[in-house]
Amino acid sequence: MRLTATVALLCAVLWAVPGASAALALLRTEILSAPWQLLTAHFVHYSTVHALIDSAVLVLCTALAERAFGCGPTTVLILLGGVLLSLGALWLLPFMQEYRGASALATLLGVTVALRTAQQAPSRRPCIALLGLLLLATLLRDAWPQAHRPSSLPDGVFVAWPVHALAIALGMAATRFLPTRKIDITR
Amino acid sequence: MRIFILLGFALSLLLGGCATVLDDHTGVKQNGSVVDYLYPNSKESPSLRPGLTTLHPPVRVGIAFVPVNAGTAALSENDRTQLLERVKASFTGYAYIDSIQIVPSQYLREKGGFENLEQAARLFNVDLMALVSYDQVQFNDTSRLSLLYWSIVGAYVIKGNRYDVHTMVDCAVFDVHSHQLLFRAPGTSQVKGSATLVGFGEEARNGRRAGFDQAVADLLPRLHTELDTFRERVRTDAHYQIEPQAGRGGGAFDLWELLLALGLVAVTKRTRAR
Repeated sequence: MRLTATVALLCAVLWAVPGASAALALLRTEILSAPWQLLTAHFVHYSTVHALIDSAVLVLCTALAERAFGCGPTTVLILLGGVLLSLGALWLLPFMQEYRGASALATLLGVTVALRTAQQAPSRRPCIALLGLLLLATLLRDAWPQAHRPSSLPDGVFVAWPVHALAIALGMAATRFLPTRKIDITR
Repeated sequence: MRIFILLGFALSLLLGGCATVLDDHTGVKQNGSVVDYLYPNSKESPSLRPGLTTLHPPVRVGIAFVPVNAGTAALSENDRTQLLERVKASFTGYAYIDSIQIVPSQYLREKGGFENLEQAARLFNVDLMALVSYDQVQFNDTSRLSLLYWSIVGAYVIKGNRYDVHTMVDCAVFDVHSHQLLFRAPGTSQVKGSATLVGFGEEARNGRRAGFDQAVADLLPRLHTELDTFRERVRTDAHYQIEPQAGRGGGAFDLWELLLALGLVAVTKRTRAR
């Protein structure tokens, strides 16, 4: 659970340090001079509520992924997935100048864990399918033009739902390449 | 002996006259009115403009004192800037406010109307303008102690002159595009003091400055309340429409997604238990 603790600590520190969120957000105009924003954007947020909810889900999904795939593969998944999601966000949303939030990365991790669980435990597939449908429903809700904006986002910030859709697709693809870890039922 | 008494009496009358000349019993009045600035030469009330006010948060806000009417004394530009800095501080920390800029008085002209307001807004690239207007009246009186001014020394040491400064500061926030008054907040103060005949001018000036300080201090909490109220009002009032600027996006979860994640935890836990 070292990775989970690191992610939790990272989210907490970046939320607490004044100015960190603005400095580490993904800015289209600065991406060439500050390429680390491709990754750091997933750990900074617009508001306290936004940070609390997104970080909580990210830490939960990181813990599940670390148990399912191990520390190393999950680290690679976070690093590579984070960069790909940011590049995808810049490509899918050409009008977007700034991006922050852990939800896409959490979605990516959650999808890989859910698919791996469905592969290993067929009896759990109905539950996984139900969770998948609910996830798709939330995606459609966010994509609806008159959708109610999540309360965690401040005024003036839109939900980058195409990045969530990309995270689902990336998660489905990544599950094929992630190693299978023997499950310890005594834990 | 009688000559000395007469001379003394004449001298006291003379000094009393001097004190009366030096003491401005009419007081001081200075004001800058939003209505005079935005609706110059208007003999009728401004017509109602029903319609939709569209806001694009995060908004850029400009803050300025309304230009002072000709012939009235005014705050110095330095004092104005200091007061506006305090008002500016009250606008910071709101997620729906992007930037706040102080617009110097030189960029607004007296009775400029909305045309001048739009020019300044374009120049400083702001969506909303917070116009700070004020009305300050200073009443001057003399106390019985002023009788001692006849001794000349008394004019330097006896605080026989009194001032009473009433100040009202008002911050009105306008949407530059629709000319709509979004909200306003007032602040008031009353400053009383006394001074010697010689030092009255400086003391009264300090009193007027303190009047502004206290009125702005009274204004700030009300401004915070109005900002919060306005934020809620635009969500429910059909006359306002919020259109987020396309520039800022976020991956965001709600409590619903948090429940989904907890559901995933439950599903994977059961898997391990089998």
